[in-house]
Amino acid sequence: MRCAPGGLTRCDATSAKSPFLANKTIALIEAGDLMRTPALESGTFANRASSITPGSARFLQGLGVWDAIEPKQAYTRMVVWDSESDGRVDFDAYSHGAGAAAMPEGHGPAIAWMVQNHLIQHQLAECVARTPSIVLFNESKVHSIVRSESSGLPVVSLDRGEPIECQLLVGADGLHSKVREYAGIESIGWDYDQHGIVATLAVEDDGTGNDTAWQRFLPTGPIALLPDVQQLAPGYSSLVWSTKPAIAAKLTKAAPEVFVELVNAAFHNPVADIDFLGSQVQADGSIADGVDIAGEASWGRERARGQDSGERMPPRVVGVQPKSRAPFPLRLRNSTSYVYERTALIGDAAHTTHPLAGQGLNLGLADARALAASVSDAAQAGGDVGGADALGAYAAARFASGAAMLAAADGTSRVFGGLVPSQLRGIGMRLVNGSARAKALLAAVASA
Amino acid sequence: MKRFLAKLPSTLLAPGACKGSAVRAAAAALARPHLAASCARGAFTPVASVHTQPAGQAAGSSVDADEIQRFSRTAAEWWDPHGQYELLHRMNPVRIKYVRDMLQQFGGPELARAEATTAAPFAGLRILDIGCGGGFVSEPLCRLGATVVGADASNENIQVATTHYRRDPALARGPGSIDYRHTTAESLVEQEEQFDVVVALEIIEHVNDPKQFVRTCSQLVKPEGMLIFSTINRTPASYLFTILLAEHLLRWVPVGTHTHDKYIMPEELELYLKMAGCQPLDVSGMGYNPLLKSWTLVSKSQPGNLEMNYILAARKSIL
Ligand SMILES: Cc1cc2nc3c(=O)[nH]c(=O)nc-3n(C[C@H](O)[C@H](O)[C@H](O)COP(=O)(O)OP(=O)(O)OC[C@H]3O[C@@H](n4cnc5c(N)ncnc54)[C@H](O)[C@@H]3O)c2cc1C
Repeated sequence: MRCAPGGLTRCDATSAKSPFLANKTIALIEAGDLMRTPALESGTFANRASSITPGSARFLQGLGVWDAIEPKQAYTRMVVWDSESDGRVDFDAYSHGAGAAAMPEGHGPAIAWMVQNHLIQHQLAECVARTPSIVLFNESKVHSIVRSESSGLPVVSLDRGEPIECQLLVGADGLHSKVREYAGIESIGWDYDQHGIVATLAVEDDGTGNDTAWQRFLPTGPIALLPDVQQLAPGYSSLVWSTKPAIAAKLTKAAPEVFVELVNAAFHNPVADIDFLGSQVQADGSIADGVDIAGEASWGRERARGQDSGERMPPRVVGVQPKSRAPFPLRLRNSTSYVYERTALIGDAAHTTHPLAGQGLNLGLADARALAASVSDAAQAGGDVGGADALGAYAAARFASGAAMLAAADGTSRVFGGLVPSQLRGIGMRLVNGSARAKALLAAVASA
Repeated sequence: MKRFLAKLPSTLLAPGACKGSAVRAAAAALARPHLAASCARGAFTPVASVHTQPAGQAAGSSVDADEIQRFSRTAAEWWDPHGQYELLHRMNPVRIKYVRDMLQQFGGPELARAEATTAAPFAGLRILDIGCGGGFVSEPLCRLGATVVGADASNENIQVATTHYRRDPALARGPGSIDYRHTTAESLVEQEEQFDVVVALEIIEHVNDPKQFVRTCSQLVKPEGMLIFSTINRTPASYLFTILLAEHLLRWVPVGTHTHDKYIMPEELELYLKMAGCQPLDVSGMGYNPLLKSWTLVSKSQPGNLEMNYILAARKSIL
């Protein structure tokens, strides 16, 4: 019996299909209701989209769920530029991307696909339901975990029913993982002095098919606009804006039309304008008397037009979906180990990254894939699925890449995110722009 | 000594080039001290003269609580993945996969069982693990569905293996099972035991009369059944690395762990098998990659692929 409490990434670890594991039973424990279609309220995580890289997409395709997830919005370009220098990276999947072999079957080159979270969850839940070897303990909370004295196996007690003894305990239970606590594994890291704001935005149709991810580095942190995917309505983009907590608070409270102007300014205006406009918003989100935000912003853009490089720019934002704005603290956490006796951590239980890289879910899926492969390999050779061979192989496959991704996300955010003088940031950006290797690195992050 | 060095292939003497092989060979040497231990207790030296209790009694119930404690501790040492048997642990996947592959490739209708699945390919097969030690091979065979008899001439090994076997409830659930016996190959022949497959891994280099040992093993296999042996070749390289380096210079394992004269060449093993009415099917080299810390089969096209460790499969002929 294997046992896995957890969220989005969890479904995958457990349902990864290997004929070598056909005689194993999996207990899937979820505190929430896995089978319920969430009410798609604005601003809820379920209603948000995640960017799925080709590697994750292939994994989901292997599980038989990828093709059933519709709609998907591919993006094939990524433009990253700096507000205080001429540094700019323009990356497109056709000329620089990974080869066709790296893409899921039936898809052309893409950097990633935007997919609604609730659809991924729903399809994985269906997969769980049609897999007889998975026993679902739905709406069941893990109450305690102890190690059996006689066998050394973890014994998981739920808030009701019999305790479950398992060969392998997979902790996919998120940031505040109970499994990690049981294993006595430390989670180290820090909180950034930044908050992220997410929002769903209506954008003007600029005739390009909304195929590009945009990211601009501001002194206060990066702002990113990704194509979004809504059930029936085209022309939406998804915003992730990392900034100082005080500014984030104002942005969350500001009136919709003010917020839209500030977003446009953050992408199109010089930094001085953004600072000025930000300072006109009061702590309660209201505007200082007599200030015309829209007018100031467009005047600033007119004035800066002389320096216009003629490069393609993000589409203009024309509206924000009601209640879709939400702030959240940015943090980085990494567990000192991903494995313990008969225990493995995957997803956010193992690591939490800066959303700059947009890799939280993808990292979790990669963990799940690696763990499934390690366990299957061990089973093929008659090994213990919770034994040191299987877990050692998983840790070797993932610990380094988890730490590397975190370091990369953290490194970039430190270089570009306002922690070093803007001069240096400009140099960093120019370096990125000038170096084919740096571009390749960026591509690797984007298509992990 | 000089004679051995003179015979060494140049690649092994070249500085740098020899590093990987050195570690590999030393690894092979290190994978073996448990056998030295079991031999010291008379496990297979000489096989025929070991008179032990009949099967069944050896792992008996008369063992007291102190003993069980002691066996548990020894079992923990045996099974510590980073302990003294680390290299033997790491050798397991390649050896077990080899057994799987050979049975799939060459196991005729005699070895085909209706209940076999990919997850439990050995379901319904009766397999003898001769020289089972702490149970490294018996347990995987059991997980893959086999009805295993694990035989060892050291009573302590049998106690250790049994203790460890009882710790994992998944093994008890089946479909496989393990019957550990404090006995010898000869006694099993006397008892007219018959198996679908006999595996003798890293054991033949420790017996006094390998030719007789092969014959004894073959008598335990049903016609059309299979035998799997793994061991170390008798080459200058294996002398240099397993005895000179690992024992005398580095002292990684006690002096006297190995006797180079007892190492067996693949040609010799194949000859003994044919003399015992068995048909060799495949022989493959095994190499240790110190970076990946794993053993793999060495490609047959690689020169010197059988220079060190190798594994071999044979079929018992009907006649
Ligand atoms: C605002 C925001 C935006 C993000 N945007 C992106 C993005 O665009 N792209 C991206 O890749 N990532 C994004 N991420 C990160 C991504 O959401 C996470 O990395 C991902 O959800 C991790 O999945 P998980 O399964 O490891 O953990 P979680 O999703 O946290 O799931 C944990 C699960 O465990 C269950 N659980 C916990 N404790 C118990 C218990 N005791 N008993 C039973 N069940 C328990 C919970 O009910 C929950 O279902 C974002 C995160 C945030 C906060």
